[in-house]
Amino acid sequence: MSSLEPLWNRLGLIVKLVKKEPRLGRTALMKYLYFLKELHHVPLEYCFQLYAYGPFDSDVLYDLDYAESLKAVQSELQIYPMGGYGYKISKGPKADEITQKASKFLETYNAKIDQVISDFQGSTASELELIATIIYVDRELHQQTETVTIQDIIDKTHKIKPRYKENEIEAKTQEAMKKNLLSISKDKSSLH
Amino acid sequence: MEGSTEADADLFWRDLIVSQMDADRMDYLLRDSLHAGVNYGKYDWQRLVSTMRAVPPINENESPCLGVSYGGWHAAESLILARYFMFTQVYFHKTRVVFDHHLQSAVKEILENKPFPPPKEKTDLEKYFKYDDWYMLGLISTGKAGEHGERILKRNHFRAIKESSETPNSEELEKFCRYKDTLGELLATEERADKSWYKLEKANDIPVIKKELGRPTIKPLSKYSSIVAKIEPMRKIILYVNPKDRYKAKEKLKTLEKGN
Repeated sequence: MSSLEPLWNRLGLIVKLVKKEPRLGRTALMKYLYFLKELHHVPLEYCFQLYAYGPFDSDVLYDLDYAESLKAVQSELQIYPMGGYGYKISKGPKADEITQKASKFLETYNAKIDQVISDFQGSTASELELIATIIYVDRELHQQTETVTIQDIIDKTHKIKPRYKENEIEAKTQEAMKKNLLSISKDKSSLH
Repeated sequence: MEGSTEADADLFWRDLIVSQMDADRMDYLLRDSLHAGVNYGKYDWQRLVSTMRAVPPINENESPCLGVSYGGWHAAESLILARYFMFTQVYFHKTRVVFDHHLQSAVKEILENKPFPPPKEKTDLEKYFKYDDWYMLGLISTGKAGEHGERILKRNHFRAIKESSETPNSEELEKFCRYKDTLGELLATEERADKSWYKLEKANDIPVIKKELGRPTIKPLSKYSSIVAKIEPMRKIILYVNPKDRYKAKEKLKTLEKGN
């Protein structure tokens, strides 16, 4: 394996996600990569930790910066009328050149990329943040103890993200259960 | 705070520990500048601290984050520039970087390629505490840290034979792969900024909050500062050889470049 291969694979994956979902935001990109690593075991060297907007690794932004400087993607700043801002990422003039360098990797994981996109397409950044946090909580609670209930996940997520209403968290947790995204077994899924 | 679920709703405070304006980097830039005897890392920290703000969420389900008031954006810019200069002039200076390699290898030699004793039991904890700076430096100075310890002692460090630009494009990256192939066993080590603890990224922009007609508007620092907007991510690569192989390595690379 060339020493550049993991880099091309990561950048190629970013470009591929941007191509499949044009005008992707940064939060969505971060969460899609988290889902690919955590739910589909795509070998990515990212190490996600809980942050203000859910699971986060600054290396994703470092790679995004680099993909932008290689002209594989371009970020457009969006100033919202209510105040605040975000970015929309779209493919750049050298997008194909970068995906070409990662063609073997992208071919291997193409079905998983499609799966993540179909599972979460249309979700807002806030919904992705919530569902990624629920998955993160589920994984961490399972590392600490074997007896985790769905209520434990809801309670812990609500403590971390009090700005989400409890019924909103519950609905997303149930949705994640239905999609088999959580480690929690279905027999423990009933609420206390 | 360290990024686990234990932080609960206190994750906002994580910005003080891990962000473009975290306390650690604000401190180490100044401290490293002082100890390295350079002025690159200095910035107006008093102004920056006094203009720091908790930026409120705009939409219902967003989190607050750490930013600066409009009056502080030049101070925030000075922090980013200080970081850029320290990265390019100090942290990723070819000689400083290779001493990381020698030090890591010397520590490996001291620990006989085993990890530090895990500080779980009391006896392990005592062993763990034994490995302080004095003990390690003592072993290096008495020649018990192998070849790399010796190189540190005699300042006989590996020499840089090729340095890439700060942000190499894909052609340059491929060229560096060819250099490595050509050097073969002469290549002593390759150091890359993207593998380094020190990373210079720009995507994590600092929010600037400005009150216009009583309503706050929030924009990233790069919207105000054209200098910050132009800073590229640092992805430098440096190839090193043993000092005794320097001329042989240069000849090999010269032949490769002539062939191209």
